[in-house]
Amino acid sequence: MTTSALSTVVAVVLGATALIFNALSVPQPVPPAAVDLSLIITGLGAVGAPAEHHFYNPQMVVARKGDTVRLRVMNLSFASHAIQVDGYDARTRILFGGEQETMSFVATRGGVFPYRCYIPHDPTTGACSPDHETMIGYLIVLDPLR
Amino acid sequence: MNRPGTGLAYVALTLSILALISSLVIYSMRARASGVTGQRAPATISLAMVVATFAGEGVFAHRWYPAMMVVREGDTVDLAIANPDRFSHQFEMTAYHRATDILKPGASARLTFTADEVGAFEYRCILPHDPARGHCTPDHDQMRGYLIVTAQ
Repeated sequence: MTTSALSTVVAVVLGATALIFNALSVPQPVPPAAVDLSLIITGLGAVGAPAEHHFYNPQMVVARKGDTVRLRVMNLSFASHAIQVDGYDARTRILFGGEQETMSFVATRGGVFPYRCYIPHDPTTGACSPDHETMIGYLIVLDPLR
Repeated sequence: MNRPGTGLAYVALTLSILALISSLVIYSMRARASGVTGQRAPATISLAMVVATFAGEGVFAHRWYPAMMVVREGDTVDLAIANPDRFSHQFEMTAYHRATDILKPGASARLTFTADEVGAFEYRCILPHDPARGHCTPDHDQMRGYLIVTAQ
């Protein structure tokens, strides 16, 4: 057998092996989805008493990298509140009680991103509530998409 | 000495070796990145899924609670679905073709399925708002949540 023929055979075998490995390496594509969710600003208090503890429901939003996240933010609290997602350019205007606003973004970066109220508590204007610092939820963006 | 085709064969051989090496590197990196060391035993996620009413500022909001669930591929999802609301509702996990019967006020149901498909899947109320029959509420379209199924 000539060197030429031998190296051709070896090349074909190696090439086929490489193709098989490549096929194994490529993850099955998972199409991005839209996470279109209502997000409520609400509170809990003693029975019959005004809310003392304010929070976002859900307190945790999970998406995969590439997913579109649309949050329909509604403020059911008596004080005015807002929301911003740290690390993403996503925030609503200041929402008075009963108001709502939709914010939408693509989860382009994986990680853990807190969402919180960005207006400090001010009793004179009814802005936010004394528990302002604990109004925190988390956006979890799973990376990779799978 | 100068046989035709020899040069081409060497080029092919070199390219094949490079392709093989790069494939092995990518494959081993992917295995390490995904942290896959072996098959994981599937878990059963049993959860209460209720119709929750949020009230304030004269507005009532009806939502599925929890609004977000995360499981891994192959896990069994076992939902105890209850409707403590004054109106009827009906739960559906659309992508998995699972739905309860109409849940009248105070009714409950059990829904069990295997999360064998990876992705983000909506669950919702499929009983359209009909005040005359006490079906659902004006915010029917907002009664949505998501099940995220991650790969093994």
